[in-house]
Amino acid sequence: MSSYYFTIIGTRDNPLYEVEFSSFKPSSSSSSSAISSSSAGSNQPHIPGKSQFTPKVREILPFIANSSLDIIEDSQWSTNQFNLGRIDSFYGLLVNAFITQGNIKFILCYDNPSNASSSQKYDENLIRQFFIDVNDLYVKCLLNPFYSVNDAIISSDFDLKVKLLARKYL
Amino acid sequence: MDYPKGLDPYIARQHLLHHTYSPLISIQSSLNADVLFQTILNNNDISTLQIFKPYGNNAKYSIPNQSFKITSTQLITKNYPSFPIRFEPSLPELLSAYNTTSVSASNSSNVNSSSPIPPSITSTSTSATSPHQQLNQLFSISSLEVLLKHLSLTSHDKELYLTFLNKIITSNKIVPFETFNHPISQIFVIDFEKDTVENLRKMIVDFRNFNFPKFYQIDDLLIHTFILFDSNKFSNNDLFNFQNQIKSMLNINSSIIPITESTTSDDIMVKLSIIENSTIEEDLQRIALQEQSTTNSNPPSNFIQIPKSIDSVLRHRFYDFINKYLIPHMQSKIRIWDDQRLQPKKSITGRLFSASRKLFNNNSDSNLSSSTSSTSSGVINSAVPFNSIEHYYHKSSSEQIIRKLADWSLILKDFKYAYSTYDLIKKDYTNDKAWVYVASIQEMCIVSLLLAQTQEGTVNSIDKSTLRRIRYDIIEPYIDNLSYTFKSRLNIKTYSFKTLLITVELLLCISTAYNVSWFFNDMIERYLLKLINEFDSHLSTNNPQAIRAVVFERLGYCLGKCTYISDQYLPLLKMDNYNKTIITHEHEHPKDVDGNDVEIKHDDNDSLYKNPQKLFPTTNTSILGLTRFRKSSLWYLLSMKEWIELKRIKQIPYLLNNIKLIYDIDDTVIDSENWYDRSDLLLGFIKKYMKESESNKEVDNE
Repeated sequence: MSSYYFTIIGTRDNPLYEVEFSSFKPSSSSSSSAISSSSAGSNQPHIPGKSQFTPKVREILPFIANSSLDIIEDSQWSTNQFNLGRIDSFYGLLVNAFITQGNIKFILCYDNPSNASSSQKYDENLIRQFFIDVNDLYVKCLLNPFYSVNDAIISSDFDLKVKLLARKYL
Repeated sequence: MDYPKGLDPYIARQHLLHHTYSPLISIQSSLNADVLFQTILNNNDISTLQIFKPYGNNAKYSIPNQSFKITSTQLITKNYPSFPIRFEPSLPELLSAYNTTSVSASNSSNVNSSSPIPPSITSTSTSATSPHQQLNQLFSISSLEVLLKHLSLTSHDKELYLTFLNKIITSNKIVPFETFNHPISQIFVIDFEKDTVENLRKMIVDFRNFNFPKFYQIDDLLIHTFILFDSNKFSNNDLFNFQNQIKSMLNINSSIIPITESTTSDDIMVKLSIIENSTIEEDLQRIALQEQSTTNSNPPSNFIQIPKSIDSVLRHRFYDFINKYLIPHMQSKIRIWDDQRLQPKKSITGRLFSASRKLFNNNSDSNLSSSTSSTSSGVINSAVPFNSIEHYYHKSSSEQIIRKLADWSLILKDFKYAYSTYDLIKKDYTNDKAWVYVASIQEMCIVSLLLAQTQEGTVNSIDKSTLRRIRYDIIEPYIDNLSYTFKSRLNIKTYSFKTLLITVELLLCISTAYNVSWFFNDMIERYLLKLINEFDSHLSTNNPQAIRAVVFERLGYCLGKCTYISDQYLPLLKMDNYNKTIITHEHEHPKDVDGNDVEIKHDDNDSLYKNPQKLFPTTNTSILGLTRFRKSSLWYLLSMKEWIELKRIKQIPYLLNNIKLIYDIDDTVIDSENWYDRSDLLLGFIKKYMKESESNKEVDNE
């Protein structure tokens, strides 16, 4: 079962919002990727939606997202799509990115799904849908007169809706 | 812009030429010569070899206005400011110490052998189970790890990576498939007062009677004598007679080294490091000895003191030896081999011959090679001179000689010629299924090609088609192939580590020389990651490792130096530009202590109104996405993490300095404003750790 780390990064490389979760879909095979398999909670009951990154990975996740900005800034000029697709990978973690009209970046880091080859295309499409819907939410958030660009998004509604989207798509 | 700081790849290249691709000179000194040095230096533990060894590095221990003249096969003469050599123990010692298994391959057909024959291969279990002989690893990974952990206590900054590189590329292991560690010259050191010509003759006879491995050609060895004498006691005339005597009786050239015991006490002493060019095992032994003897009176030092007069004499004599004997010897040998072996091979008849051999003799490969190993003499005459069981070509086969020719011309810095020769002989090795030779020659193809490209005085620009050819036709397929051969076919993966590391360094060189880092960067990153994975598979993955920390650091450096900016815009990369960016960032939305927006005050002169609600463009928009500083910082962070887990914090300030462009590191106050300072994240943790260790130090001092 894949674990995900989703973050929204502002124009000053500052994170505006971040969330960790895991796939809500029932895992088809028990074989998991290198990172999540070594997680300690193997004998604990699995809580649906709880991410299974190890502490070692968790402490560098924001840095991985930050480092992929280099690639985002590079590849944003070569495409006219907002969704940049899979742009980077780091030690088995894959990174997908989406850039908004206002130069806000959505970054999703996730560990390799177990059946990567068959459902790769499918996953990419789902992630694209997820990004597009999060973008809708983000635009709504921007419309809020009390919110200005580059401020942290602390609205609990936003959080809940992102999590619902995650549950729907990922 | 000098950011991030790290080992300049050109220094790495220089070390590579010094430690790996330099002539190996073996030294055998008489007991009297050793005693003479010991009495003069007042040190009973010193040997002639130890004194000579540092002087091999004549870039460091140079004489004024030195220049080494080398004529290439195309008769172009070039002068080089340095031509380092490596002094090592004599061949029998080298072989007995390291190559116990491969030496014994040469079965004892030589009855005259007076030297002890190394333990036989039959005692090892590998030979009993498989017909193929197991080759030895280049170095022990765990020893390297132990050494690095030890060194990280004392050395820091970029030295540590340089040491890591040096240790991997430094070796005096004699293997059949490359000839860099085959001695080019053998020097006998004798004392004029106590040794006679007869003594010298006996030394040489003993040496010659040694049971040399079958792949090693003793006839190519330049034998030379150094005569030590006390210039107070003897005149040059006596020495001249003695030299003539040696020349007439033994047909050997000699040089004289006047040694005077300093009568005055105020003779200036020169400090020499005796750990130049040492291998991992030698270092570990020395460290163990030093640690043992700390309880005793005086631990063995890494340095020796030598009188200035002797120092200057030695420098001059070695310079003369290299220029008068060594380089001419190598040049003449290269010319002979070129004439007799290489040119016939290049000719039409040579090609036809090899083609016919390939067509008609292929079936009997296995029979021939097995028969050659049982009959120790008939290797040369057989169609396939490769001994597939013991992995060597016979010393008189063209394959072995041409390999040596290429190696020697590489040593003499004729990289293009070396490359063409390697390329030519590669096919023969492949036809003979001499895999270890194929892998080694692939390595040398890459190395000679990259060395040629990064040589001074070559063209200033490089076109895309050449780059593509270098990458897709040569480096990538060769590296894949040789990694497979070394790792899976022969189980000597440490050789492929060396190749990977050398390739990475040379690629960095070519990247900086032509500003083509954008083209090679992903390849460099991939190779370094491959290297880490290989080390991980040997050492435990879960434990922190010094090797991993050092390679992560290099990864950070490679990415930090990677730019996608074309030549004319490189000035945009100035540090100032970046600093400005940070300042603009900070002022974009100035906040007061409580986090409320502050109104930007404008000067009256400033006619333009600036809307504080607007986002200001950053000053680095022109190079946006053309650098990889953020990625580089991530690797540096991971490197720091390894060091912290190893509790070696000496390296951390240097590494922190290399991420200062991306993260504010001066801020020791753990500041919740910056996302990266959060205590659950790596950088916050590192800062906290450093602060604690500093305060602990202060408490200790108080």
